Amino acid sequence: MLLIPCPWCGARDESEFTCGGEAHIRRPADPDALDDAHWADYLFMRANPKGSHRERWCHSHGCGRWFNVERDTVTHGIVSVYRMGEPPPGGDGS
Amino acid sequence: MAEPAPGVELRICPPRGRIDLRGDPADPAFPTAVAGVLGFELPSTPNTSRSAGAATVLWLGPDAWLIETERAMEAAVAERLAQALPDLHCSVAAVGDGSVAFSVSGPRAADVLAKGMTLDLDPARFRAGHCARSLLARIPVLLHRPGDDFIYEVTAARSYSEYALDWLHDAALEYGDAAGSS
Ligand SMILES: [Zn+2]
Repeated sequence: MLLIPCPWCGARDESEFTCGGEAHIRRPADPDALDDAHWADYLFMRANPKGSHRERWCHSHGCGRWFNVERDTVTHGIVSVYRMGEPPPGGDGS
Repeated sequence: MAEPAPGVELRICPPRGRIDLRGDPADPAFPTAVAGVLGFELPSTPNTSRSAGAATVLWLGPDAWLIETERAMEAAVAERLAQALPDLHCSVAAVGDGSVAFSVSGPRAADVLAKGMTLDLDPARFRAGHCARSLLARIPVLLHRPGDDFIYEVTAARSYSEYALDWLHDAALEYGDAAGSS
């Protein structure tokens, strides 16, 4: 069980949260210009790294807020937590 | 022989008014207008409450608060808020009928709650004026510690209230649940 530091509420148990999957996925600026393969890539294909992963989480049974978590998928260690709209502490999240 | 003092007392709180308030605290007009109605500022520190006069306001999220009033005052306070916030991007909803509050009090109150909650209920951490939405025995609740006493208020959806009360009675049994016979 993870202890997740909500940016507003502090450390709370994982059972209060919902994981929303990979963070920083950008909707294509012009979807009509995409072929099926690229559209499918945007909709369905996700990174599945062994190690550091940036994810969206929602404190659904707490303050109700979405935010970002950088988590190590091997150790489950939480590297950083940052609010929506904030750049990832390690950079390269645009 | 006298019965030992119970470690926990459970009570169903009388019906109260509740107003769900949402708005942008970064828009200065919003907190100002609300304070004009309530007579005090909205709590901005996460997971804290503020109380004055006939109203208590609990922080639910960065843009969400719950205002508790006397049952008979709910409609009037909601109406005054709605009138004070005419053109702002916000929402005022009277929701008092939707939930039930329980009072869990006594020296072992936190021990009872801790059986079904993952919140840190250390009295030095969950202090007077602290509140939090969380899960109690898998149902969503709002927990509030209004004062320094070991009195905790658990607010749950009305549809879960029977389950919540049954669960609390069972959890309190070993500490001498004073309301167990009621
Ligand atoms: Zn939170």
